[in-house]
Amino acid sequence: MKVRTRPDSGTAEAATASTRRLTRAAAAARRRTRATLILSAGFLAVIVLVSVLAPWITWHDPLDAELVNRLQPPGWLDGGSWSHPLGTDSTGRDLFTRMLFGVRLSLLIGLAAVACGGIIGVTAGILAGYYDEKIAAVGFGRVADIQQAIPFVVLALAVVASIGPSFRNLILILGVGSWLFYYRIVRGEVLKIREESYIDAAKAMGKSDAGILISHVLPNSFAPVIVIVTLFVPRLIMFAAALSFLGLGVQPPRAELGLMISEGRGLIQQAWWLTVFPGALLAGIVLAMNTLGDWLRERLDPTLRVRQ
Amino acid sequence: MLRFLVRRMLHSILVLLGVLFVVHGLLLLTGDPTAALLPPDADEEVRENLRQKHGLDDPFPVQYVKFVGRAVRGDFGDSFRQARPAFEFVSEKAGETIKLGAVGLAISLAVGGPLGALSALRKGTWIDRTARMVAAMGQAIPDFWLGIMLILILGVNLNWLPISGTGDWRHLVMPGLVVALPTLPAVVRIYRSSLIGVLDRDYVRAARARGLRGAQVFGRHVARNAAIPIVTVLAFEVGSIMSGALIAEVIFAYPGMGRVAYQAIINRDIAVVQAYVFMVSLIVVTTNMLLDIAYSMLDPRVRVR
Repeated sequence: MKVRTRPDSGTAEAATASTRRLTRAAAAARRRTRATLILSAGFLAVIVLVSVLAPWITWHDPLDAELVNRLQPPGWLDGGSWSHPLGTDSTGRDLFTRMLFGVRLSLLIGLAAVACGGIIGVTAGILAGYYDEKIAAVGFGRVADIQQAIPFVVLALAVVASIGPSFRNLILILGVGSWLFYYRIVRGEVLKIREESYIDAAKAMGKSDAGILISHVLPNSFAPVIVIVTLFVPRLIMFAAALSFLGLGVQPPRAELGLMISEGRGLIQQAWWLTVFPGALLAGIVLAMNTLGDWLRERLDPTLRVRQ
Repeated sequence: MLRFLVRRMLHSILVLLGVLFVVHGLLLLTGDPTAALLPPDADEEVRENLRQKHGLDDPFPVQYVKFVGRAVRGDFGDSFRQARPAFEFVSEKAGETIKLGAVGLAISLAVGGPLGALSALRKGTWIDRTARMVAAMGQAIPDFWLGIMLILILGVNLNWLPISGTGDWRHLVMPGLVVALPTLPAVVRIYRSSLIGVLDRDYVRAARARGLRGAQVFGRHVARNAAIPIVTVLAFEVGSIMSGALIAEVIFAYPGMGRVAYQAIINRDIAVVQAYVFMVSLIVVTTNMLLDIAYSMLDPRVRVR
């Protein structure tokens, strides 16, 4: 008795035809994925290059105000000049230059914050995983619970309210705000690693706990950390921009994308370019980073793979 | 079930005690709490009074216990700007923020749910690709920037919607969209992958075999079963909805508690910020607890944990 019969699967020829159709669709999907990846990687490569070389690319200074040329529209519009290709802001600073330096700062913040959160999270994760069910594990777990009850932007607002906004504080807030994601993953990984026989062997050879943690546990728990880093750099860049937008992060007159959007906000009717361009650039960077991050995650860690 | 409820509630209370620890710590981080809680021109006598009243010269554990004792009665001290209890000032605006959060959540479910469903049912087609692109864009577009773009397009150029304040439903559309933005991609992705999993199940095949039509199968067997993971995701999203509400309130001058706290920072009115942080955590912890309970009713297996 045949329970499930599809009209087209009755004959062998139809079956091969449908298989061929599937393979062709899969090939098309692969091509599209590859195109998106190349596009994202290329875009990011340009962004990184341009932000590293920013001082040599532009012919303006990001802080240099030319009041005569204030609120100039982009070069291709009436009243614009190609000396300021994307226009100028309310004090006549070149928007293109400020965007270059803004991206530079954003990338720097993203990396510094990931390093800060990663160091706290990985250390805590290794300690909590290795000494499972001891004070360290319980303590870190409780701190993580508490932190989850205070949303990130709210926590940032509160911390800035008490210690004030500054570049250093921004990095600290971002790092402290994201440590628990590293902590969770690393702890899970270490719980598995400490059951491995090479750990027993190291113990039998009389190695100290600290020695085992540094030379065996740490290197073996590192692969998933790389995955979270790729996911978190764009997220932290976005958070940093949001905090700067709210006046809680990078302070004027420095150039940072979120801060620039906030400065352009009041001039939205006269000078749309001041908000549209920095925001679009930020979105583009985050999109490209997310695309690459998702792909990397699928390649490196099949257990995290979202069902396709 | 009862044991689960009690344990879950105790956990929430413990977390809130921890939040109060952080909130009190914030005050101490300022260096001089009397400078943070009083206007700059307060004289020494007033400062001394405050130290006495809040026990600021006591050792930390004593201070903390006293602080918790006052906090559970809703006493976070006075806002020196408003000259009235900070908690009262924040909590009367909490309703507006919750309303905004609910609207944002409703938008992300109403848009994300169907998008995720279409994407799963038409897997591999252009519909699927479009839905996934929308999700990717939603993740990449900064919410504060979206707010300003909405103001520029819908508010200024087309003049369809009011750009600030409150009033009727039209004041909620743009802030609601800003709040919905970060949650939307999560809903699309989770619902899509969960639907794809459920569509493969034997009971769905059995329903098809019984001759039920596609729409009937989907409505009766698939849609609701696949929706359970969304509940889990929402637990994580409550916090980001609260963060989004803060940003939307600042952009659209929406009179919620986030804007109150934001202005309090500019005025260095830290009691208001403390009350705000506690209020937000209270909302997050309570909704998480309710979602957990709802989840345990939908899926009895989790109660065991």
